[in-house]
Amino acid sequence: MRNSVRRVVVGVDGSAGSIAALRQAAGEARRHHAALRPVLVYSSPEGDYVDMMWPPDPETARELAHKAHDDLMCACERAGGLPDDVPCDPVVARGQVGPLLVEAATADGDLLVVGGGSHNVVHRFLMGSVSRYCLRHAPGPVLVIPPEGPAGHGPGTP
Amino acid sequence: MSQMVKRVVVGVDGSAGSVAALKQGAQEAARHGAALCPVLAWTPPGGEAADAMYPAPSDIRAHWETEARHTLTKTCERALGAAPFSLNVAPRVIRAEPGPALVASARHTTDMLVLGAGDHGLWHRFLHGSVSRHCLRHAHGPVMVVHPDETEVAEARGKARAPRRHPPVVVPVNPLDVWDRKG
Repeated sequence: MRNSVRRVVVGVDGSAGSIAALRQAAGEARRHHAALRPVLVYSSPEGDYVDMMWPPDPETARELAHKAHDDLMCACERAGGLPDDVPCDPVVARGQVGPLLVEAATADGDLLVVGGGSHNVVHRFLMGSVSRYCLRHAPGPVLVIPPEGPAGHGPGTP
Repeated sequence: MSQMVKRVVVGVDGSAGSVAALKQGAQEAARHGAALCPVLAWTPPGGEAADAMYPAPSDIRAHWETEARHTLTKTCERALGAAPFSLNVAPRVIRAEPGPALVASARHTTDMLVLGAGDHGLWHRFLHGSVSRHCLRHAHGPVMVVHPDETEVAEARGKARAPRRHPPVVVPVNPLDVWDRKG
């Protein structure tokens, strides 16, 4: 049973797309009887590269992690709360979003769920696409949830 | 809570990735109690434009169609086992470009689209683009992308070349000391 899903890892950043992804991930976890792991990746205010060379002192790091954890819990509340019938394991991590999400979903039987993001060209160029990074690098299946509302960019909506 | 999935549309082209996608799609369909729709999209070998200019004789066209149907049946058998399936399976063969055909097949928001990740080189990418990327951009429902089993890739390639590994993940900070679990 290599293909069966045992854990659903979902990337959450507080945006509307990620809330939709979290809802879908909770449903998937329930149907597969799998664990749910919401992951919030944050960066320090100075940015990832400064952070890499001069890591913040432990106290600042702890504060940042606390704040990120609060944000994650807040996002979970907005998605309708974490489900009771599924084992949940929310985590936060500091660094680059794509690599850390992939890192969080490397175990056998992990399904990675991310929101599609509806960004414009400038944003795409500056930030890249997290979902595309995950598709390219994740070892397991990746589920991408399109942004809600009118499925805008399809040319002919039926 | 989460949206129900009523139909699982799987893109099939006979590759190892599509076998993995079909397996995963079958699991998803079973979990959601949904119908499984393997779709194989094909175009004439010379392209639609050339076929419009110089239409192929009907027996050749029939041969292409039979071939497409045959590939679809074979792939379904490889992924799901012998013919009487426990699921509700509705295979389809469509003559169109794969990206638009798959998006059109999964046009409702309750349709989940499952694709195999293409393991192609840059040259192939440049010529044919990426079907999964097209679907991600245009699909109305959730899209799942599945990577093929390494054993199947080796089988499909006749073990001529080791499966390409992704470059190692570069993480700026050590994740182990910032994974912070509470509550």
